[in-house]
Amino acid sequence: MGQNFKCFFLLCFLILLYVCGLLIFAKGFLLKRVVVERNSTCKVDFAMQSDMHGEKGCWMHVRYKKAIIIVIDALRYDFASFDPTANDSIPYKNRLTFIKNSLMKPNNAKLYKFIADPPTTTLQRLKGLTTGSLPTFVDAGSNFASSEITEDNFIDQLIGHNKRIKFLGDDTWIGLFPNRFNKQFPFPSFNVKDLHTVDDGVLKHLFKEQSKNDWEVLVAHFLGVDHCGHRYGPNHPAMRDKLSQMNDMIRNVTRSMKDDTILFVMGDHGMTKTGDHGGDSKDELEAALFVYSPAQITSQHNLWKERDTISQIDFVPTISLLLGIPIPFSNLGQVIEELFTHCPWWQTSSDIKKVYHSTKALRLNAKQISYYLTSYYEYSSDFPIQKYYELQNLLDHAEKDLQALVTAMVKDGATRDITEDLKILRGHYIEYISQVGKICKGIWAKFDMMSISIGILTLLLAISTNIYYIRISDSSEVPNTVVILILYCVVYLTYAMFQTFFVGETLSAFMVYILAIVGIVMIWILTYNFSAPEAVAETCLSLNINNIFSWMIMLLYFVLFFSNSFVVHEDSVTLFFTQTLTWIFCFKSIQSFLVKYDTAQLDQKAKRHKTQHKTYDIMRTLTQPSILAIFVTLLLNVLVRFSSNFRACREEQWTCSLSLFLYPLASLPEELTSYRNVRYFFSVGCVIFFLLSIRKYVKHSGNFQGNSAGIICIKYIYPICGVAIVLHWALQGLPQPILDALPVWQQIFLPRLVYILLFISFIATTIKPLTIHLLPKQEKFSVQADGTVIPQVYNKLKQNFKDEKEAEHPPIVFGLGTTYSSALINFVVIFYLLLVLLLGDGPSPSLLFAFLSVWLFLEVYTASGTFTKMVFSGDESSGFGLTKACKVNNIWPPVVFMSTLFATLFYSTGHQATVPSIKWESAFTGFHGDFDYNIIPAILITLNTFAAEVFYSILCPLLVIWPLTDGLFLKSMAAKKEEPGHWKGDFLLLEDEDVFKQMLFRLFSSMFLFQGIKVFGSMCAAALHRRHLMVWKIFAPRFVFAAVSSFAVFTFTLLTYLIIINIHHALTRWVKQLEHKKKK
Amino acid sequence: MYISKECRDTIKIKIILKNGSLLFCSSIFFHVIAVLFGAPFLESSAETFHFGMTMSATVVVPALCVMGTNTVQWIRIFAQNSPELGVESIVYFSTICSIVGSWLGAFPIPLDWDRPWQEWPITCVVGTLFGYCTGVIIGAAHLYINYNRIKRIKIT
Repeated sequence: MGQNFKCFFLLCFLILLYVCGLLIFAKGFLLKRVVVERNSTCKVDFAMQSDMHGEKGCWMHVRYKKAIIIVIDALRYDFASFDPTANDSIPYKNRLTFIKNSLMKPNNAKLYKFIADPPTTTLQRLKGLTTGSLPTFVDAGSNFASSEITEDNFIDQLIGHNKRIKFLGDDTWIGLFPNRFNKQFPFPSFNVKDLHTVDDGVLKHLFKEQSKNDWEVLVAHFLGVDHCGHRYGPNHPAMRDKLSQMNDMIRNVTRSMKDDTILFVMGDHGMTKTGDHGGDSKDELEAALFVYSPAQITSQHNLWKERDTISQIDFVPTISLLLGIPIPFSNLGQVIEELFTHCPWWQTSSDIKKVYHSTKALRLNAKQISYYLTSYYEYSSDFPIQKYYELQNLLDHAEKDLQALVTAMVKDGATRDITEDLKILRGHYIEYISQVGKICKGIWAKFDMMSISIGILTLLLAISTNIYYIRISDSSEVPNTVVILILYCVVYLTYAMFQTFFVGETLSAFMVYILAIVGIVMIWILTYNFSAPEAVAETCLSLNINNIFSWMIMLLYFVLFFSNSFVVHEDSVTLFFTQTLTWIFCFKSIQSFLVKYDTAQLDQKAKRHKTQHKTYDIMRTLTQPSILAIFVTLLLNVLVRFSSNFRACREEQWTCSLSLFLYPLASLPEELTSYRNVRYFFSVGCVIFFLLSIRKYVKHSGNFQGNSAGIICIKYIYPICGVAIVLHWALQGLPQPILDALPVWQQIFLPRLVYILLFISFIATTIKPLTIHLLPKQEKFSVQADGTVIPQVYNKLKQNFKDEKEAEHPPIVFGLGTTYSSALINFVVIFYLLLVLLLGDGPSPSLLFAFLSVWLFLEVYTASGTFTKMVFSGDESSGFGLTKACKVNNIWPPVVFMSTLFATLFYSTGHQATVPSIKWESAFTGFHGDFDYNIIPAILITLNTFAAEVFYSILCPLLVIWPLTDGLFLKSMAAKKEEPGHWKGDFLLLEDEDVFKQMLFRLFSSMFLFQGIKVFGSMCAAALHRRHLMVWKIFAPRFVFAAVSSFAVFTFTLLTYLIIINIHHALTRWVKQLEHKKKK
Repeated sequence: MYISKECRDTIKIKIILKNGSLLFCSSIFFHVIAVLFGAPFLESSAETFHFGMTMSATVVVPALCVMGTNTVQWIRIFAQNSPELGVESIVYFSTICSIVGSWLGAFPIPLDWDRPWQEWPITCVVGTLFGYCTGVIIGAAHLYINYNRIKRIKIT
């Protein structure tokens, strides 16, 4: 008990070290922008109202009294633009005919390419679209809990100038702007499957509200197009319907518009070919902006080349000045100057007026940005000072030019070529604005080097501690020096956390560095000087082929994070590594078979053989252990390679095309619809195969008797779950309209049933984890004649292990030799079913392949292990060879193999280390609509994304348990040698309790070490490449994914540890009970 | 032992057939291994087979020339790592080095240098050949060093 607790505590402490290191690093690396909480006011010295026309505004006159802003989520530019060459069968092309028709009147309508800044998630985009500032990477994570905007934005400015705002649509707005709108009709945004609720809701109120006279600004946010993209991708008939609906809506809105109203129709981001967004590919960034008014907006001229591509933040100053309110304080956008080339109050319009008017808008814009920069400077010294003065100079220069120009105009009239001068001036302002924008984009990826270096040092400390753990696992007692080490680390952690989160960049950071380095050196000295009580034959640092290769692969894995192309192709690279390791193990096991092969003797024999008879028995050759090992390895390779069919593509892999298995079943592309049934039944077959083989295994190992909780689960509950999952998939394969027509409870019933059943079986198997069955003494052992006679008799013999001299009638126990493994397998099935449900029918078969590959690997590993040999050849006198085997066994190579295998599986379950490839829709398995708490969708999405890691953590203790139970493979080879009575299976673990714990501790420490080194690699790469072009696209997401995946492994490993301890205690209790009974 | 001319011929034909079919099988084996390690399954299968043939030429052919189809010899040399000094040790080194070379040859493929030679299987084939050459050189060096040592031992 004490030992268990100690090990658990040590592991928890290690996790704490890792997590703190990651947090500190993330704080420095994923930096937020400093928010300047100041608002623009009307009282500024630069805004002089010199126009003597129009209604008086704040910085400029009020050009339009009213504005309608329609946000169509994910309206890509090519959805809105007209392409005469496009084929009519493409569902998303040329559907917005109203835009095309109104562009015939170029003075009343404009269409722009509306470039979003990454990250292209709705929340970030809305922040950018209202404040005019640039979002940072960190905000992307908070998409679920939208938080109120505190920065100055045009909504607040409108309210400040007594304009009434009406809002309809996506409730993200309400989260950003609580209590700002005079009237609001919010609709839940998170349910991606629901294409119509939001849109129909908005449409129901939109026209009624528009016709009322109680608003100045009307905001409507439609989600249908985005949801349609998430659900089906752009290439689906549903998209045609949705876009046509939007087209009708725009037409109806414009029909009742008056001359004092302007309409903006915009997309907040685009979508990829698969309909996702979040990243920064061209398709995601290019949204559309359509501006329309019944009155003339702009005028024709040929003074300068008009822009057709604008940035999304440009919208903010434009709408502010058009409505006569100040530009929000922290805006960095540039006004769309074309919209300021016409005023309805002009009697005549000349080029000078046009240029002057638009230059005026640009000047106000530049002045506002200069104000912002000055006050930003007070908050933070990020901005390069030299550049700041350079830019300030440019602006001052332009101001002077303007003054001179105005003076000249007043003095001499329009004698000089004022138009040209104004155009030059205009160029200065534009340059100023764009320069500032560029520099700001650069500095908001400014890193806090202190936190980054402290984070790296903390992680190094954690890795050193981890290696020390593996070292001390050689001895059965935890040495006392650990206490000192933990105390030291606690002191260090407190100091480091305090330094990074409260103190900030000061000189005292050096103290942290020194503490960390001293700690690392200390731990290495401890590790080096540690000597186990007994000599250890092989540790994770000794030289042999397995070890060298495992370390080499580990090292390569570490190094590959530093190369962007290797990170992009990590899926293929991990596959390559996994296959290499399988062959290393194969080679090792062949070597161990043939090491005693007497070549000299057999040489002669063969010669004699040749002369005598030349018959050649193919079966004998094929059943040779080494040939078998090669076949098993090949099969393992085929499984791993085949599961690479389930991979998703990241956008940098330009040769990759999306696999058949990753489309939603309901919306396969046309050329693949014929595979629909094949795919579905393949997935179904995989589930059935898994459940049947588990049943078969449990039956074979004799754990299928009696009616304990685990057995009932395997007999009844899991098949029911399997059926429910399969039916759920079939339901998901229905066309969308039919599915939507079903009542909600029918849609969520099946997954919920699975959740509940799995939860029940989890609880039941936790309470009663043992699947052994004790036959009452008086009961005669009768064989059921149902075809399983042989295993039953065999098991009876097998379990007959108690010393026969001691008790005359030994109790007959079923399945004692596989107590641990079958109890653990129960949990494996629970998690398998859960993950399969969440993964959906497409990628779920790869989980089965992973399971089978683990099984095959365990067979090869068992056969090659010095482990099994030690247990069995352990001399009879000393009892069990387990202690010795444990000392000899080196768990590091198999752990490396398993870790790389599951790193491959991460990709084979249809994931990539990028934000757009996260499967958000998995949050809706069993839930419909919105969530009160974000915790449930967060858990479901994490389980879906890191399914591989979770499954790995549950399976890994088999590395310790399996070799004792003998694989089929080994049995077939060694059948002659072993008499059945000798076999005790993993029951040995109960007898050598200390060793068992020691082995588990070593196993988990090794797993943590792998994860730690992996996350350390991605971290160092991210820190090193922080100025790399691709940092936000490749290195930063890789780091985040590595961090979260290691966290998933940590958590679920601890859970597995608890499960194993629970099984162990249950078994101990059971044995005690048995002895008690016997005494009676 | 006397063997008649016809008999010798049949033996030769037999050996040629046996070794030829072994070579073909090993090419297929390496082809399959390449696909399993991540080479494309259907596209460029001719190139993959080319790689398989290169592999079998550097890995299997030398070994076949020296040891023939005698399994026991193969086991002794490759599974028990105890080749005799001489031709066997050179074959041993060249074989291992060409496997390692072809393995290392895969590494430039994912890099984004956009060179035409990064196409599968060029780098792997080149890696195999380089590995083979290195193996032969290492074998020769190993032979030279050990031969001198043995000679010295024998002299003293």
